[in-house]
Amino acid sequence: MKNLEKLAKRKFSEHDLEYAKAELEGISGDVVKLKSADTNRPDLWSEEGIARVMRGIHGVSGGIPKLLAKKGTKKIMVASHVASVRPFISGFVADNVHVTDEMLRGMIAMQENLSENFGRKRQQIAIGIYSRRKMKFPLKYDAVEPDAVKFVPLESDEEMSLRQILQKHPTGKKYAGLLRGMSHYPILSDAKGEVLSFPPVINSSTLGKVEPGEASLFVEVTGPDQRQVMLAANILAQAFFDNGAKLEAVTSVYPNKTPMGKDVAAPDTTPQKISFQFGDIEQLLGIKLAKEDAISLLERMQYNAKITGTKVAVEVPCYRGDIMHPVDVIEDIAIAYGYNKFEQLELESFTAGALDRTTVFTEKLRRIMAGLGLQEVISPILTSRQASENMNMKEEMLELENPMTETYSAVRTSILPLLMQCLSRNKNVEYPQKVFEAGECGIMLMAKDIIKLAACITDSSVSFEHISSILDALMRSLGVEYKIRQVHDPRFIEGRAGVIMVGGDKLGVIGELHPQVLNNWGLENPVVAFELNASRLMEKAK
Amino acid sequence: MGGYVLTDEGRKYLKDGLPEVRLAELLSSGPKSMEDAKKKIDSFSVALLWAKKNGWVAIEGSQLRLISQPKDTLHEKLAAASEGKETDKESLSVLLSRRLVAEHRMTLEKQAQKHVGKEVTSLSKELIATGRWKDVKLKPYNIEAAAKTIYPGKKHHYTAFLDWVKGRLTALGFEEMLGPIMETEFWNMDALYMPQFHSARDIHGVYQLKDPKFADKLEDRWLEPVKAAHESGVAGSRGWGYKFDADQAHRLVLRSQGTALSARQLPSAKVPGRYFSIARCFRPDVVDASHLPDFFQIEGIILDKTLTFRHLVGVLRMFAKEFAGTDRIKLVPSYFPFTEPSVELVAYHKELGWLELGGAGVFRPEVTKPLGVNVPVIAWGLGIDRIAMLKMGINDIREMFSQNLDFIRKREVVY
Repeated sequence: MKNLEKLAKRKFSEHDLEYAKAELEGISGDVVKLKSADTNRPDLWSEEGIARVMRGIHGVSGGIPKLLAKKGTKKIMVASHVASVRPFISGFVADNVHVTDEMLRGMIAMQENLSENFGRKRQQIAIGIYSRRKMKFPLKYDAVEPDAVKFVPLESDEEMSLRQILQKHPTGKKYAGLLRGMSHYPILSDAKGEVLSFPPVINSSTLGKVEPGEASLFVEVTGPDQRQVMLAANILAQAFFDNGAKLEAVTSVYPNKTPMGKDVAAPDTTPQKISFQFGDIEQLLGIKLAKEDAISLLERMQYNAKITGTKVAVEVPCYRGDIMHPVDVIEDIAIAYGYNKFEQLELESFTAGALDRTTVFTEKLRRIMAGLGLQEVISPILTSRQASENMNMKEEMLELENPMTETYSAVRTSILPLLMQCLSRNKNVEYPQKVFEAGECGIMLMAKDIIKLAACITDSSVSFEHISSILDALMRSLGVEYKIRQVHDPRFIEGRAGVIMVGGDKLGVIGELHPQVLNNWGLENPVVAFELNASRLMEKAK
Repeated sequence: MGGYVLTDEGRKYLKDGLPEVRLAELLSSGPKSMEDAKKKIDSFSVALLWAKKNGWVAIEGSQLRLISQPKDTLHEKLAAASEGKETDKESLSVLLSRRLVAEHRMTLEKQAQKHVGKEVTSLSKELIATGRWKDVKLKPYNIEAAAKTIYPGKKHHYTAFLDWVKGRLTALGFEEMLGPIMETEFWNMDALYMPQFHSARDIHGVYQLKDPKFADKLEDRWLEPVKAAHESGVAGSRGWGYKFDADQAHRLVLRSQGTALSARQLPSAKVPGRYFSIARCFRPDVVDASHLPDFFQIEGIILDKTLTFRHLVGVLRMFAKEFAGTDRIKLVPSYFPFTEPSVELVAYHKELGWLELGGAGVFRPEVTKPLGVNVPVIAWGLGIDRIAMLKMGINDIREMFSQNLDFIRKREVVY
């Protein structure tokens, strides 16, 4: 908090967080814990970022924040081999930093946030921070065969090849997936050939170790998308600069032309330019602003803005990668204006509300079933192979590729097993138990769902009539003529199972559950049940 | 013939046939002597009387002869009487004169007589019909005793709540949207301008189907413009600037957000139009007090020629009033990949305090333009489970989905 307030040049207030789309999770001692709501604003995921917003909104500094970097001669020579592995790198030197334990913690947190969350677990973005003092420029960013280079990685005393790091080192194992199937691995080394790091996995324990007391750092970002790599470098550079560091740009020299050129220096402070009609603001927000007020609001959100005639020309700070369309800028105008200052307008047009006919029909089924004395239950749509096997069924499942647990590993194709599961969880509850459920089910081998209706009755003694009378009452209520035809179905007792036929179509099953099925579910009372395809029943009903 | 019952004789004839009919049947094989017929037909005198009266049989000396086949017999009238059905007056008077039926009252009276002067427990039909209730004492009950517990058939408390929400939203002019739970990444995410590298799209953010893995076909009409919006932008947008993978768009997932339904609705949405959905959604979360393998999302869209952020404020106020019963709201800047501006609705509930009630925003042009919509679209979502839980006295979201029959049966019917 002390740091934040020093950086923001004012007292912290929870309300300020709204401008940074962050939420206060708690304050303990001097530590403020925040949760960011905006997954597209990594520049806000640090105390420097929050402080920057506070400075802008309270007019401590308006427009694009200052970011100065000395044009140096330091270079990273990029070898052509990296093109197919991890093609882009951007880096800069930060002097006049005073690395303390606290600062180190903040730096690591920011690095983690950027590379793990925004960088999708280092796939898009990996960040390395080094002690500048120990290395010699120019650096070399190359890709080598897995056994070609050996060095001692952080958190180890042992010299290892890149292959060994991925196999043995805990961090190596964690990120090995990012390099799977590649013949060459990235390596960053200095002019003397000493290894800085093995991006995106781990730094060396010599050049890649930063300790308190350090005054000069080198920071680099690697990844497959040049725009993202530069954005991350800019975000880091701005944070160091805000903290009082003196920056020196480092130029990445590519063997061929890249979207940003052949020689690309970082940070790249060139602002993104975007323009729109002044009237667009009123069209989206419904408020009429004076031009100077619009400019002032934009400056408070740290844009540079100019209005010429009807055109608003905006420059976006280089640490923001989220501005894709004028609406993104106009939202910031609304935020600076204050969401709670907007006066409401009522909807004017008339529209007729309506339920979908499937909902209307399903609701009718549920009403009839409840009227027949059954209790509605709801089950998960996700189920397991075990549930199907418990029904004496050996059928294909509509399985998930990435289940979290076996219990929820497939989309149900029938509600009956879930009603049985429900009964098995209620063995000690008063009998008789009469339950039903209507809801979505998948169809095997098809990505389509239908509504089914299932009902179960269990008691110390039940007969087929208990369930057939319910089915009959339901069908009569719906005005649907049906017949029951005896059938063999492993879920039910032989001779006590039937298909429900409506106009020559099989619309469901009815019967008394097989004792093996009862055993499988651990049930001790007989169960009679039916299940209907309600979607098709709807077409048959009047 | 309500109020009449068969006499013993009537019941006998119903079972064995009427004697005059039996006599006619006997004679159908040829004339018989009186003596002969007497032996074969019991109640012979009755038989002869009615057979002659009906003009079926003639007496020729000591011989009896059939002169016409029996018709319009009383048998079916008897059958009707036994079932308590009405019959014509003429037949009824014949049946009464032959004492084949008797007035019901007689029977009831006989039964009612048994109770006269006594204390009885149940007030029976014969006592009420005969007025004999005046001559008996009705035993008092212990009406203060605890009632026997029974459980009504009823809706589950959660679905009942959702039915209530549906009713409120249709009353507010919203039309329901339905859609598949097995959805393509296209409608679940691409159409909502969520880039294909978005973290909510990886295996930790959305369930993928194993077989089939891909939808056979998508509406190519929308695929191309959406692809273009992602790759290079649309309507003044610079786009996400990456190579859009059409195969991934066909990837089948379980719907992870109700907004997928809004995306599906956009191409055919009416202007002006208001839509809502209560969608079952799925996310790979560890199951705990606030996470379930599947859950419901309540959300929708509003389209009109002119809609601004100020209308959105009006809509959110309307929802706060409707569902939290409050005028006190706060609007907090928020983020959704598909809306700009984006807002979170925080409403003051008198018992729960400040409560996150929903999220909303105006759909980005990158969402609406590729789907052929050229008017502003307000998108909104509501999280009102907590209010429902409060009303139902439920603390744990898992109890909203409870399968505990005892718990469900004993719930008060709140919605």
